[in-house]
Amino acid sequence: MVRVAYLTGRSYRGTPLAPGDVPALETRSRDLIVRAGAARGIDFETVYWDEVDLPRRGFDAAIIRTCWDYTARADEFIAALEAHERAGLRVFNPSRVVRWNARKTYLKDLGVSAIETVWAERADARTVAHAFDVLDAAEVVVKPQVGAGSVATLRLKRNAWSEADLIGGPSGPAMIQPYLHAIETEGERSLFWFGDAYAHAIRKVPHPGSWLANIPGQTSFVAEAPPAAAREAAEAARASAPDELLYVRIDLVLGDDGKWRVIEIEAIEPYLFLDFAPAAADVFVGAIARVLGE
Amino acid sequence: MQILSSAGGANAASRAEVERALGAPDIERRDGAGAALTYRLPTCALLLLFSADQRDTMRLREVHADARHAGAPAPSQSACAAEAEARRR
Repeated sequence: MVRVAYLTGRSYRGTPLAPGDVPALETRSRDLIVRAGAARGIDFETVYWDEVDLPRRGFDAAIIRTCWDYTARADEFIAALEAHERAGLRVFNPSRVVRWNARKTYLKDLGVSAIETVWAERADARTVAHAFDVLDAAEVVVKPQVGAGSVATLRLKRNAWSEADLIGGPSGPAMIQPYLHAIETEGERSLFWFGDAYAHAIRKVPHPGSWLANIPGQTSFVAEAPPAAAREAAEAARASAPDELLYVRIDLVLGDDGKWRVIEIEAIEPYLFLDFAPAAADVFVGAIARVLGE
Repeated sequence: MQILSSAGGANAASRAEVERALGAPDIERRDGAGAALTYRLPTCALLLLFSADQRDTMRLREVHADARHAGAPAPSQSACAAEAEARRR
């Protein structure tokens, strides 16, 4: 039996997670993975990512999953992964990928496939005003270059904001993007690859009157084949990664020009939406089996 | 306005419900599980604070209404919300 450490955090949104637990919204996904693993002779054990003795506990690999408390401990998180690797434990995705993916400057490498972005060392009033003009946008989103979970993110309307509104926004290097209105109708597409295998795609459509494409309860999630052009753009983005990816989620939205734009490559701890596409759990576990030579 | 008076309660309005009633805000701040929406209206500014509940739905926690012009009396929340509703139409 192969043993794989299923890495999770010690808390989710401030609520501690007991040993062996994952956040409630991820329970079904984990159950599907565990079941698919059992069928392939892979045993998943849920452990905290910061347990220092993981490399000595006989695991064949560690898979980063619901480590959703890492954003507040980002340096510690990457250091822990590197320490696991140095001690001989294979981690997926590897720490090198995590380090690359943690800073959204990877979008620069995608050229026109990525959403148009103004990069700035600081999101001050001059920079934001300039970005409105460069992007020719009625609304913009200002967010940090490093971060996850919409931390310190602002959405501003032209002529309705002031310098004081930037307080609470990104305190360091920032990125400014146009707000794309297609998200309210077309929604956002998330495409998944596990190893080299395309696995599934989710369309996230906000309920009428809302624009948030990632909030359960305000969004419809549907497993739906993506438009060919969206998949092409996502494939190009996937090829830009510095290493092989055991798993990746690529998020796209339809630009105002009718072209699909990558807004995020998530190769650290993506929510996999397996509860909406249960068959993809076996694709996920199959990719793990291949890298472990099973 | 009923939707605002639900703030802080177990059945507080969701963010989607608020935006359906008042329209999109002028300024939004997101920080993890929390969000602050600001409506800049002709005579008042309405600040709405949300946080995620156990099911990950953003719920209205606090409401603040302030005058936009120096010396003007503080508006009521319902009057300020009515301005937002009127703008939405």
